Amino acid sequence: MDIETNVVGDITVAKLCATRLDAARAVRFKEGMRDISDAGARHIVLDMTDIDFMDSSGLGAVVTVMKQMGREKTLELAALSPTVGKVFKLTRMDSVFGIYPSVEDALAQGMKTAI
Amino acid sequence: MKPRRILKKRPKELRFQIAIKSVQEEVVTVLMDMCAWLAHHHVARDVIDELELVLAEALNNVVEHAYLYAENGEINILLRLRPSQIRVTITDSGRAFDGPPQLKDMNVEDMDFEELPEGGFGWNLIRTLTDDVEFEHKDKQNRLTLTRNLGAVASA
Repeated sequence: MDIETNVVGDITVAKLCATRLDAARAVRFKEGMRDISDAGARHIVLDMTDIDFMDSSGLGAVVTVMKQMGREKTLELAALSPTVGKVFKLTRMDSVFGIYPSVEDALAQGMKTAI
Repeated sequence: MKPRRILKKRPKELRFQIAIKSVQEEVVTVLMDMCAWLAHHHVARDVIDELELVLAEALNNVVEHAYLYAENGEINILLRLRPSQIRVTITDSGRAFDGPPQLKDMNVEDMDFEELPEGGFGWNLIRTLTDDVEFEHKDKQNRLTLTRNLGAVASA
């Protein structure tokens, strides 16, 4: 899966260039995110703008990425479609992740925290 | 001239039937085909989106647990659309399944970071987004039937 990165201050925005985050793509997503984390990203905002479908394998993969990054690093989510947001809500995983309406909102919040 | 009223008789049930191999990419393709078919028959978008998730979970379970990722298994899917409900029957000849688990409370809010689940959400999603779940193992086949009732709007 192609993941575009864009570094803003100490935040790395990782944009998923795919329309689905599902069982067929979960492994490649985890590998791609591990590369970004291993390259030194400490605070990642996952830009999900283009994802219009996510199943529980996709959700599980997002949790795996966060756990692999460890407590010292952060993974937050931005720009969830209504359908993707529903999966987080139904599993109550929306209580576990920081979720922002847009990347700009996530960055604004990140900048405030950094100061 | 008075417009003539054309009486369109609705069929009681429309069917979509397909057999696929137990391959994740085939699951993705068939999900998109089923969604397009339901949209073509005027099923509401939010119902289709929820059904896509339900069917993804059920079909991924077959690929992962019934066929253990072996790609030569066969999965039969029968989708029946009636004015008041959608029923989907998924049949496979893989490992016998014990039957669908009940809804479980995962309490993720209270979990430590290390305890957070990386899976096990699938059946909760299926149970939450359907109105009925039936399962039988017969003649060496697993047969799962999921029913979603349609509101007045979707069936109009």
